[in-house]
Amino acid sequence: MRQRLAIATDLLATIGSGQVRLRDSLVRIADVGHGSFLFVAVIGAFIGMNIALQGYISLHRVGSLDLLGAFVARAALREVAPIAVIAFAAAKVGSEIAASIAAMKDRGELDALTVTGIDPLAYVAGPWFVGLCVALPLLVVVGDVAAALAAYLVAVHQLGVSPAPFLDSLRANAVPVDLVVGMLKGLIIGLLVAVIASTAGFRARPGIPGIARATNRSAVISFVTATVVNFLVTGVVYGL
Amino acid sequence: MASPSGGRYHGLVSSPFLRRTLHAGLLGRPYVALTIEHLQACLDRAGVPILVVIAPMGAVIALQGLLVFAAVGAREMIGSMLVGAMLLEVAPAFVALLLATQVGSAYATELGSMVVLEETDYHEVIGVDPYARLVVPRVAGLTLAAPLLVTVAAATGVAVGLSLAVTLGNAPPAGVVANIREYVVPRDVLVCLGKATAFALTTGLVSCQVGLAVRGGAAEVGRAANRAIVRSILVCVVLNYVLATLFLGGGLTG
Repeated sequence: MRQRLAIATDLLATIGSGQVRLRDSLVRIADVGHGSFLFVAVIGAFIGMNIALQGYISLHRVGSLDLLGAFVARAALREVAPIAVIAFAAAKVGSEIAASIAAMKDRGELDALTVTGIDPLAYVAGPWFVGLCVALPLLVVVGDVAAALAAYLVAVHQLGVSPAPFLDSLRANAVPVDLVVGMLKGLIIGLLVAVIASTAGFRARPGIPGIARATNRSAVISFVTATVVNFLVTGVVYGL
Repeated sequence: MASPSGGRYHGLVSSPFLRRTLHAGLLGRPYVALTIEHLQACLDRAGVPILVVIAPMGAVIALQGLLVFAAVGAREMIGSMLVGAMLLEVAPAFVALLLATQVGSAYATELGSMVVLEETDYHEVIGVDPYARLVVPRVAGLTLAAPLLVTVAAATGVAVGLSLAVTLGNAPPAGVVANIREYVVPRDVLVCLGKATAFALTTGLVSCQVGLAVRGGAAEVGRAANRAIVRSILVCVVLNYVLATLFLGGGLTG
């Protein structure tokens, strides 16, 4: 635990001191954003579709279908799409970071960097950190847009809800603050996942079992962290 | 390092993977002890994390729901809304997500390292069907673990959400219970168990296929864990929508 904390604080200090190269960071932003764009769009879309369906089923029971837009805005755009996108990206990118750093360690590349006088924290982990912190909030926007579009298509074309009332109640309930809160969640969780995943990579034991274990643990811890932080932010913002 | 088995394991549908798994599962030798071992491993791996994940989700749903219901002066509605959301969507989805990140990625790395170390080929050489011994017990263990995990998860999520709603959210306990009795039907519990089981079966198959498709060295094994998570979650998300559409048909007529 102490060693893990030491790596985490070293990483934060390295980034704070500005030793991370801009060029590498831009590459990682593109890696995280481009690498998850399609998946996040698909997941956001299916969440929007599903919530529109579920909302239709429950509202149909109580006979107030004109609330469907509000339901989609409150459930999908405010809560479910952001956390699903973030938790998914956290697990995906977290395991990617851990796997690549653990493999570098296994091949002795991290030691080679240290010998040549390059700080592996700044050179390897730093760009991932910047990449996640920049790209994850943007992915939340992608997820929200995909969810809203897909929910509209399902509501209007699959379920036959009339478009105007749906859009009116969607617009009335989708407030910009929710988008900002979602992006804030992305930023905080991205920051934590970068630290967790690179720490797992740097601490990996040698060989295939070591790499496998580091990847697996990193994915799980990132995922659990994402949901817990999501709750804390929701609790603080929407009042507990 | 390339495995001598060549391109035998590529693709989930086009490859012999599904056919051989099905064949081994139905006609092959059943490895009961191994299946129980994998079932236990699933419960060990996912048991605590699912509680850590589902408790805050229950709280978030209660919180967001109360914001809406307090505005229209019907706080007791939180009961059916929370139980319904938990049973129909949240608990199965989060069990699936957690099984994919926790167990699916582990299956992919385990089988991937066996392929890299040529242990799968060794199975074939000594006449043991690797699908019957390695794949079927893993998939079966995961599939059996899902209903147990989702039951605990849904119960925990509902308990946390309701206690929060009653204590902090001033929801009337008697009204909440009456509301749950009125709107939640036994079929919802079956949907919950069925969805979780379907997701787990899918995750198990996808992850084992990804593991057996590993070629190359240690770095590829790490990448397989990542691929197993991504593919399992994507397939489950699509499956979730398909199931919801099917239930929609059944729910409106029935």
